[in-house]
Amino acid sequence: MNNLIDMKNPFFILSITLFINQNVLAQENLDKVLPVRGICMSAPDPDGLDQFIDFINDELVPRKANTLVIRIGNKYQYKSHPELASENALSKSDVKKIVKACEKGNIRIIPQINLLGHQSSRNRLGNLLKAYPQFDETPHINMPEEYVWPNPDNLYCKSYCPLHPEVHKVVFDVVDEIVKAFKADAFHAGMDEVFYLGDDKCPRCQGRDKAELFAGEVSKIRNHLAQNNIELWIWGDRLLDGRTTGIGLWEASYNNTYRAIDMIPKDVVINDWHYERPDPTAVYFALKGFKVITCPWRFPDVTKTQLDIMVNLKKYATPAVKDNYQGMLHTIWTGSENFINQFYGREEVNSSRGGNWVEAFKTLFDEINKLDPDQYLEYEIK
Amino acid sequence: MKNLITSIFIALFASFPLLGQEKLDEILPIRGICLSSPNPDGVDKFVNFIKDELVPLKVNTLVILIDYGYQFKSHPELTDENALSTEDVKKIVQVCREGGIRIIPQINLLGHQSWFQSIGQLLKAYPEFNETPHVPMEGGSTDLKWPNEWGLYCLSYCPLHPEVHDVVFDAVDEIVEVFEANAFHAGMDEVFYLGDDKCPRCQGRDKAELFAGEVTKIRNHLAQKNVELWIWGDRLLDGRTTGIGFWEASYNNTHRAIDMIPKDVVINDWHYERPDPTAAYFALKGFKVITCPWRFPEITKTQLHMMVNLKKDATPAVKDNYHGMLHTTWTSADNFIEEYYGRKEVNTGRGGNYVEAFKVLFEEINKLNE
Repeated sequence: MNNLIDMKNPFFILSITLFINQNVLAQENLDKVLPVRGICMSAPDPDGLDQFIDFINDELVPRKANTLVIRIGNKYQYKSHPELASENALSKSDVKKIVKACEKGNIRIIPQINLLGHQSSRNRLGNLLKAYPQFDETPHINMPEEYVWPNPDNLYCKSYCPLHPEVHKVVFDVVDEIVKAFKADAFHAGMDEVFYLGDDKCPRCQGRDKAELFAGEVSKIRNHLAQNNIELWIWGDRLLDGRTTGIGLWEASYNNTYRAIDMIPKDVVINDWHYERPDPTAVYFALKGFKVITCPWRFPDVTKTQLDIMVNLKKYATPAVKDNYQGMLHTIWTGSENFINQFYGREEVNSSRGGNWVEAFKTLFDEINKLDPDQYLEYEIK
Repeated sequence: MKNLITSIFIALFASFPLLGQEKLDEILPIRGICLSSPNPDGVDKFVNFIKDELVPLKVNTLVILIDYGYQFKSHPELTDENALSTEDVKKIVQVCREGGIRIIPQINLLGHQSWFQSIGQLLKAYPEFNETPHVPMEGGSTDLKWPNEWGLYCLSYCPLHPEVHDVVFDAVDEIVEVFEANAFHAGMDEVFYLGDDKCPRCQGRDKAELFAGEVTKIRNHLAQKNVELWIWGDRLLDGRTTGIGFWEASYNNTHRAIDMIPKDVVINDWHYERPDPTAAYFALKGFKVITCPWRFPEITKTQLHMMVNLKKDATPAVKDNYHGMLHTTWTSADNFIEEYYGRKEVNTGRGGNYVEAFKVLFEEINKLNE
């Protein structure tokens, strides 16, 4: 039996070489079919950092995840603007640990700070508007003591005013700092579910075209990042017409922002999130010239169909569009500690809206690892 | 008792095919074929083909390419040689009615007003409607090939000529009436000559607005009588950004017209060499869309399954926009029928086999019912 591991045997060496080549080739082909295989998680608390890093090493890397969108927001000890940091914020050395684990595992990190919208959550005002109340797009709307949706103010989250002359000076400082701390080549600005925009009482925005306001802000952020060759990622919902598509007011727009799709630079990467149906909106973004990533959440079957749609669209695409079908980003909308505990069965997943994001995540990556990339690379007319 | 059971049994049995039909109508409201109109001496063969082949295959839509192949009473000067009489048309109308097939007659409007060196009847009779009168159709271009120095594929009429609609709408109204149709197909594909720099009316105008203006004008005319407008979709797609090219999509800046035309225009989205998923684009923009294959059986099959799957997963607002399939043939009706029965060989010159593709499409469609 020892002969089998006979290093002198040329066939052994040959077969090892072949084996390695095949693996490299398979990896390369997977990268071609699905360039982005990601997960979007919230940043951990400092005391959850080790668990977070173990999860990257033990679960994400072996599953061939290659992208981590990490939602930072206020959870970093900003030096440029200490007033924006939350109490439980990560230090620079905490971040370095995450960066190192990801570097080692070939995972691209994309830090997220919500710009424009999501400047409050339920009844809590975010740090930006706490420190700079003058940036509030709707200062006449008071934060409620108890939050309920729907409410008469139509308050989901506050926004900053994109035309306030000082706002970008502040937010771009923290964007630059976080990009640098994460050594990132892409930044995620969120920009989803922006309901407060072009408010009738805002002295700067009143009467303006909301699609132009939204596109203006996207372009401004993109242009700022482009100076340092940093890519901009955003959620895609404001660029879809919620009524005509029937997709609704969350995953698409009811506030007339959707025409912005024809006004923003084509190098903005679209994170197209749909959780309850496998909407084929990737086609829409790709044919408009954008790189698009489909983002599932909590239904394993829907997630599976979304992956299937993505790889088949790529398979049949014209050369001009093929690369626009970029891949999949699984979203987790619970704390990363919760998610990791749920992943290991130490805590139960309890989605009040049905489904199971842990199962959906596992299904997605099982299916990704089952893909035969060659099947999607070559397409010939028969 | 015995009789009761028998009648229950018969009732059940009788309702099964009906259920199947309803299911198919729901999954694929349009199951069509686009054929050239026959010559007068081919009408009987054409009628038999409808009866013997199309009806049993559950085809329910026939787009018939008429152009000037009808003996127009309103404008005899437009009538081609060898045109169908009212009586000929009525034979086709009757067989379709009996077979549950909706007929949609087509006259190419705006573009396709010439074919190689041969100028169509409209511009022959009304040369003043020509968008590009400076392009030589005789002499210089007698050995016309594509590509050529004028970028001439087909001539167009000028959509801003003050008299052109008086003439073409007469012909449209007459053809809709004789076919007893509730939809009209205006073609409007491959319009390369539009907003020409030398046209005194169109020069300098936005081509998307010119195209959208013409679509809207035709749609509004038809809407007065509740007649639906069908058009080919290529001018509404951005050929460069999508990589689809300048035939099946637009290189002449017409694609923004998609946001300017009424949503009740039915889009015939033709792609022959790839199963482009553009149906999703049109449907999400709010249009009813029909995918149109031609000559590759495998692609045709993929296109059908894409259509069915898009519909399956669609939101309620969009579901009905995925309207079905229309097979295109692009040969004379007589050729197609001869080829269908194997009495003649299919030769597209570009690969594929539209007869096989047609057969595969309807085999697959009929499997959906199972």
